[in-house]
Order: sequence, then structure tokens, then C-alpha cells
Amino acid sequence: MLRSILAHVPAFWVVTLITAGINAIITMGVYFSNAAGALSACHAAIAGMGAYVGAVLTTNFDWPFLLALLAGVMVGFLTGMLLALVTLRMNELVAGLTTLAFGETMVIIAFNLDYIGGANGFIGIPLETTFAAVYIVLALVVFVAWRFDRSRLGYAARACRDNAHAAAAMGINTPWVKTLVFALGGGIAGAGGVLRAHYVLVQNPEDMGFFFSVNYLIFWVFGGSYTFWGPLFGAMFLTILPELLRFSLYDRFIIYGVILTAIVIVRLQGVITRVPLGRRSAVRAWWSRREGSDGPAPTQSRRRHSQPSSAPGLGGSQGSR
Amino acid sequence: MKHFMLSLGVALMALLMAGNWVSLRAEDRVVHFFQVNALTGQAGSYGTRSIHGVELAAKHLNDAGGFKDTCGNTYTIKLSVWDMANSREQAIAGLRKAADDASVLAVLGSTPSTGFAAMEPVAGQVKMPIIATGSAVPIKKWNPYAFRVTIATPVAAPYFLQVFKAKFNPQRVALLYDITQDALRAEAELIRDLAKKFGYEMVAFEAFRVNDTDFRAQLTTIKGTNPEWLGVYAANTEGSKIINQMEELGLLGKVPIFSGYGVFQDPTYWDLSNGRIKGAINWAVAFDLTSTDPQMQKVVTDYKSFPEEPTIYSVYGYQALQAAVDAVKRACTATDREKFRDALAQTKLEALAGTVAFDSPRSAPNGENQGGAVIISRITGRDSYELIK
Amino acid sequence: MEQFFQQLINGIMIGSTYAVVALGFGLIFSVMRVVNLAHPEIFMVGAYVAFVVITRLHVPGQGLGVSVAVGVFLLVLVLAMVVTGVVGLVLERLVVRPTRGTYILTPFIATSGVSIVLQNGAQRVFGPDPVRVPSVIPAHTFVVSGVRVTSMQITTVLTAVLIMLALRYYVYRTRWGRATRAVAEKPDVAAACGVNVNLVSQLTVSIASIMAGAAGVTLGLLYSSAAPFMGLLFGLKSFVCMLVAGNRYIEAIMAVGLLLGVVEAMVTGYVSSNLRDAVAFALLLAVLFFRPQGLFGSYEV
Repeated sequence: MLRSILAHVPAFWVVTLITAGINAIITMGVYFSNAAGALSACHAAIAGMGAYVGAVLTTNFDWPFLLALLAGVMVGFLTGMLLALVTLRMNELVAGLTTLAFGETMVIIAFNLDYIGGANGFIGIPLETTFAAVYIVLALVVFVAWRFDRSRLGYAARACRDNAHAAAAMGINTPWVKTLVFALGGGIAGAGGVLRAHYVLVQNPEDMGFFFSVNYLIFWVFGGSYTFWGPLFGAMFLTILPELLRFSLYDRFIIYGVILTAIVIVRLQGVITRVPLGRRSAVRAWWSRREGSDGPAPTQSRRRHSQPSSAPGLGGSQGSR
Repeated sequence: MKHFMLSLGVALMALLMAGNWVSLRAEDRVVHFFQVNALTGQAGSYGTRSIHGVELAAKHLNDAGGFKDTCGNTYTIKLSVWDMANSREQAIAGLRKAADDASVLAVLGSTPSTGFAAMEPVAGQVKMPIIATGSAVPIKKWNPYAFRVTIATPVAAPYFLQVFKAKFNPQRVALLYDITQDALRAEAELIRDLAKKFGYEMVAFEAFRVNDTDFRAQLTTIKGTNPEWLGVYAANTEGSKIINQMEELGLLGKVPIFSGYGVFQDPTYWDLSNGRIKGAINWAVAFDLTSTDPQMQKVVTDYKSFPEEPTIYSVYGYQALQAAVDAVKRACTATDREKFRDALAQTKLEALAGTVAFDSPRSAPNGENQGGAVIISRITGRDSYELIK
Repeated sequence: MEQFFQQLINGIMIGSTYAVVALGFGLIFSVMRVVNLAHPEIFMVGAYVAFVVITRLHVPGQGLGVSVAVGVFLLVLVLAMVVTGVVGLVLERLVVRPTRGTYILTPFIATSGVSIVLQNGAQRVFGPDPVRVPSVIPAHTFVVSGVRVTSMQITTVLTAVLIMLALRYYVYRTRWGRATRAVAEKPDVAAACGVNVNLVSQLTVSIASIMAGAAGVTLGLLYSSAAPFMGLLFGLKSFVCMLVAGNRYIEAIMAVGLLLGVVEAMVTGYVSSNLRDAVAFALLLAVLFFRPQGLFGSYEV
């Protein structure tokens, strides 16, 4: 059924949507990893490592795609865990730079490893990624993110992000939260990497570099780093935008750069700062605008799951829990 | 107002339909070629030249009233351009868009390897014939729909080494190559691997990456090994810096230089290195921008309408369109990709700069250009060289 | 032995090129906690200004008397510095000031958007090919017991040192320099003491851009070419220089730049040219583990 719907969409938009979906998955990985306050400047490398492992398994060892995907997730998860443990005691900036150095080191290692192709890259990967595969994985990731945002782990992570000392004082096991959350993000990135490798059918060491990691960071911050809708929107918008600008053959990227800079300056905290599609928030916002008050009083249980506020720097929910 | 617009619209439509009917009667067809190449980004200088080469070839044919096929139909050429901006995904998107558009007969491009390496397998999946215009990336397993007019290392380098050994008989050879460019690296590795066979010793094998600006460290190492010849496998941006720094280190007069892919015949290379590449040798596709061949002269003159100077990539673009047009002539179709592909697979064409010949049956496809003549040339001036036999 | 000294000279040369770009980077970062990703592109603009000026002036490559050559060089330098200074001013007002003080990544992303515009703009205006920057300083190679140094290389190192000294003078000997240092240490207290932080911000970015322009001219002449993407390599290496040096002392960035250049040259020469880029990141990793505030210490970030 999906195939018949897709048959009506022009093929190159399908390509763009698949690319946007893969970028969204990896950016969600960034979202998870940074949810507890870390700064990961190496997500392209983590995705790339998962990609290499998955690609080698399907190409050289004929593993079924699903198993290779899981293997990529595992690799990403373990790498994320390792990185988190290493950067546990560092201050945010230094931790971020460590991840940067790690990413570049991975590129150089990949360059020199002839088994995975070295500088030639790894070629001959079978085409396994379909539109359905990408969006099923993305839907899964979004679901996990949605549950995460409302879970104890999610709130704990946001608490660590806002003020690690206060969080520890409240009894949150900060090291454990940070590590778990970073590893989760790494696993998701690994999945995205495997999907990409089996779509583009070539995996190069350069694809793991700082330049690409910065791209994912841009998607994440541009979209809004406080809710999972932010990275989702950021990745999709900024991947699709250059395609929409094709009417201008030569100036495409100049326009893109101007739009990117302008939007960042106008929306400093990211484009999406509160959950936009929750029916409750939309209804309540409309009601409060109409009535000039807070609208119909929610019941006690709903208050607990109320939407995060939009004030930058406060991030997560109200402190009273 | 509404009535006026309505009647205007109807009149326009009637006019268009009449026009169509008129042209249909004369059996004029439009063949649509879709270019996927790099207009922006770091590979922009190559892609732009290839695109302009294709455009010039189309212009020459269209200005002459189109071309006729062997069945009596006349064709005019329509071109579309899709910028891939150094991104694999955008290259694939362009190819898919072309495949979706029933009016497109074939894809011309791309020049950067990032594009062609990604597009080649997809071409087989969507059954869209593609002719690459300058990419020399090693392809493990060709599919029947992919071709390229480029002369690549596996064909050219052994011939070059033969002549090299016969003429100069070097004993100590050093190489400085760009590890990030597939074609240059492949050739450097091939030259290293064939050292025993051709009887020279590889005394230094140094690498650098694209965008590097300083090569003195590598050159100093090379200088220390006292080579007789130095192979410089770099694009003009890095290569010109290498040559300049060779002079600063005192290497330029002492160690002669060789390379491949006709890089030294690029006038930008000459300009950026201030003519220091005089005397260097390289293998190249046999094209001579100063030849008295009227076709070549016309191309060089008409190319002046573009802002940059023509190089081998412009020639590849021109030849790709010539090969495609030749296949259309034999296949008698502007829309049937299968017939076109089979005709293309048997091309033997004397094109702008040498032969374009494909020998690519569906059962054992290999899209390489089997026909191109490779020459070894020594650079004597900005636009001149002499042949070495 | 001769090779060792040649590699040393090579290293000092490359190192000073890294340092001269890193100085501006570091200045903006230490004073305003902003990573200005457009800094390497401003450097590229400087190189293109040199190209435009020199080709318009139809400067003959050789045969100029030394004093005339130096005069032309200074003229080109000043013109490039004016242009890049203005670019820096506009950048500060439009992009840096609104995003300063928010999350550390926000100005990073805003300036990366600007760098995309500058790169593609340069490609659009000047074409995708690198352009030749004719040399101004008469080329002369000095050979000292087998080690070769050219006049342009010496000019580059001299310019880098002069830029650093000028910056030092500004920061330590002028009123505005003192204000800059105050803002670098504690912006809130400085503001409370009556320092116009906005003006300091503007001055800082302009000065950094001016330095980038001078660096662009020098490197454009050194390598005889300017290209739209020439800033990429320097961006990353200079960023690493800045991080390794810490943001307390300006001389630190210069020293680290030279150190990086020399170590790179030695590793390329004696170990393997494949590992050249690994040096920068290995150095970064080592510093991050053992001395995260930078080799020479920094203010709190």
C-alpha cells in the first residue's frame, strides 16, 4: 500500500525524504546524547562506526540486514557509553572537545585500515534501505523519545542538564544518567549510520569527520534543543531546504546560508521550544488567549505531564515534582 | 476582465496546439539529456567545465538545425542541469529525478567521483543510462547502464610506464599523491605496485590530503631520498603549491616531474605555478587545444563565451554528448532507454579528441572507454606541449 | 642533519601560518566566549582582496626595488585590513551581538551560516578555480648550509610576529585593551564597572577580522593563490591551536601554533605523511586529558 502511495511521489523527493529521515534519526541520537548536558561533536563518527560494522557484516559475511542494523546499534551504544565514561568528570566544553578529537581520530584510523577499504572507502554495500525502513526506524525513535521525555529518566536527564549539582543533591545518580543517555544516543546514531550506508552504498572515512558532526549539531540547535520535536524538525527542514532552493542554480547555498543565519538569530533558543502538536497545549493556548486566563483547570494527574515551558535556560518541567 | 482572460487563455491554447500539430507533422523530435554534476562546492571547477562542454556540443548541433538519425527523423537537443554540490545523496536524487521523467533519455555526468560512485549502482536499479564525464573512480562491478568517456588509470598507467621506462629508464622514483582523491590514489598505488615489473625502486611514497597547503615536510623527506623522478599526483590547487614549494626547496631543477590525467595541460596549473611546470611530463587523453583540426578550433573559439578556460573536463563533456547523439542516431529513438543503451554499448566514434568506443554487452558489462588514445606529453608552454614517443 | 633543520624551518613556517589565524580566533573566543566559524572565511576574503588589488594595480612580479615592493605590500595589507575590518564590524553587529551570551553553540551555528554564504559567494564572484595572486615581494632564496628559506617565508613569519606584538600592545598597554581583558575575565563585573561591553565586543571582532585579513594577504602571497575554500584547513587547525593554548596569554597561541607546525613537520618527515593531521588531534587529546585548561592556562569558561 505504501508502495502505491509512493509511486505518486516524484522519485527524487523520495530520495530527499529518505535522506531527511536518516538525518533526523542521527540528529535524534544527538538529542539523546546531549539531553543530560553533554556536548557530542562526534555523532557522525559514531554513526560511521556503526555503518562500517553493519556494512562489513552484510557485504562480507552475508548477515541479514536486520541483524546488521542491530549490530550497528550495539556498536553505537558501546561507543557512546565509552565516551560518556571518559568525559564524565570534565566540564562541558572540554568534554565536547574530547568528542571532537575522538571523531577525528576515528577518521584517521578508518583511513589507515585497509580491511574496510582505507582511503578508498568501503564499496559494494547491498541496497537494503527503503523509505519504509527509514521511517519505521524514525517512528520508533520518535516514540522512544516521546516516552523518554515523559519518563523519570528524561526528567532526570533534563535536571542534570540544567544544574548537575542540584540534580545530584536531589538524589539523581548523575553519572549513571549521563552515561545511559549518551549511550542511547550513540545507539540511535549507529542505526542511522547503517541505514545511510545501505542507501548510499559507499562508506568513506571522511563521512565521519567534524564537518558532518557539525551539521548534525546545527540541525539539533536550529530546531530547538529542548524537546525531541526540535531535532526532528531541524533535520528535516534543513535537509529539504536546499532542494526547495533549486530554482536558483548558482546561488542556492548563498540563500541557504542567509536563511539559516537569519532564523538562528531570530529564534535564538531554536525554532521549536515547546511541544507544538500536543492537542492539549494547542487547545489550552487558544483558550488562554481567549479567556485571558489559564483556561479550564486540568486534573491533578495531567498537571504532572504538563508541557515544558518555553523559557530558554529553564528547559525541562517546573521544578516541583 | 474575467471574460477577457478566459478568451485569451483559449486563444493561447489553440495557438499552442496548432504549433504542436505543425511540428509533429515535420517529425521533429526533442531528445532530452539530464546533467548531474557539481556546480557549487569544492568540485565545482570540474563540474562546471563538464556542463559547459555538454552545452557547447548541444549548441553546435542545434545551431546546425539539429541532427538526423538513420531513420530519417530530425532531433533537437534539450538539456537540464542538476547541481549535486559534492553530496552523494544529491547526486542520487538527481539521477532518480531524471529516471522519473519520461522525456529524459540519458544522464550525463558526473565528474566528481563522489557523484559517479554513488550513481553507478543506482543507474542499474532505475535502468537509466548514464555517461560519466571525467570521473575515474575504480568500479568493482559495472552494471549494464553505466558508461564513462574518461580514460582511467588501469588503461593508461601501464602504457605510460612502458614508454617511461623505454625512454628514461629511471631507477629511483618518488611519489607524492593526494590520498583523498580516488583516481590519483589509485594511480599512485598502481605505480608503486608495478615497481618491480618495470625495474625501478620506489624510494618515497608520501601522501597529503585535499585542501592541504603546505607540502614542505613531505618534499623535504623526498629530497632526502635523492630520487631521479618525482610523480606529483594532485589537482591543480594543491599541485601548483607543490611545484612552487619544490622550487623553494631547490628540487625543481634537479628532479623532473611526471603525472597523469593530463593535469599539466590545464592552463590554470601553469598560471598558478607561474610556468614552473615547463618540462614536466604526463600521460593524457590525446586532445590538443591548439590543434588545427577545424572541429577543435571551433570548440576553442566558441568556448570563449564561458567565463573559464576549457580543460580536459570540457572535452569529456563534449565527447559524452557526441557519443550520446551518435547512439541516438543508431537507435532511432528519443525516449526508449533500452534501445539507446544497446546502441550506446556498441559505440565506435571518432569524437572531438580521439575515439570513444564501448564494448559493453549486457552479459559482461564494462562501461570503460576502450578507444581513447593515450599520449605522453612534455609541457613546453602555457598551451603547448610536445609528444614523447 | 640538514634535513632536520630544513624540517624545523618548514615547521616554523607552517606553524606561524596556523598561529596567525588562530590569534584572531582565540581573541574572539576568550573575550566573548563565541566561536566565530566565519573567521577562516574572513581570512579568505583578505586573500581575495590581495588578488583584486594586485591584479588591478598590474604589479610586475619581479624587478621591483625592495622599498617599492615593501611599500606595495603594505598598501595591499592595509586595504585588505580595512575591508576585513568592515566585514568584521558588520558580522559583529548583525550576527555576533544578538547571539552572544546564549548557549555556546548558537553563535557557532549562526557564524557557520555566514561562512557558507562567504564561501559560496566567493565561488560565485571569483569562480570555482583558485586564482593566482602575483607575488609582490621579490623572490629570493637564502641558503644557509643546505637549508633553504625564501624571502616570502621570512615575510610571513615576520608578519605573524608583528601582528602578535601589535595585539599584545593593544591588550596590555591601551585603555580599551584593559577593558577587553576585563570583559574576558568577568563580563558582568566589567559592565558593572562601566565598561561598554557592546563596544568592546565590536572592537574585538573588528580587530580579529583585521588580523585575519592581514593573515589572508600574507598567505595568499606565500602560496600564490586564493581559493574559495582555502579557509577550511586553517579553520580546524587554528581552532585546535586555540584550544590547546588556553585563552589566558596571547603569546601562548603563537607558541602553540609554532609547536604544532614543527611537530607536524617532524612527524610527516620522520614517521609517515599519512599521520600529519593526526598530530593536531593527538595533541588536543593529550592536553584535554592532562591539562584541560590549556597548556598555558585560561580564564574560566
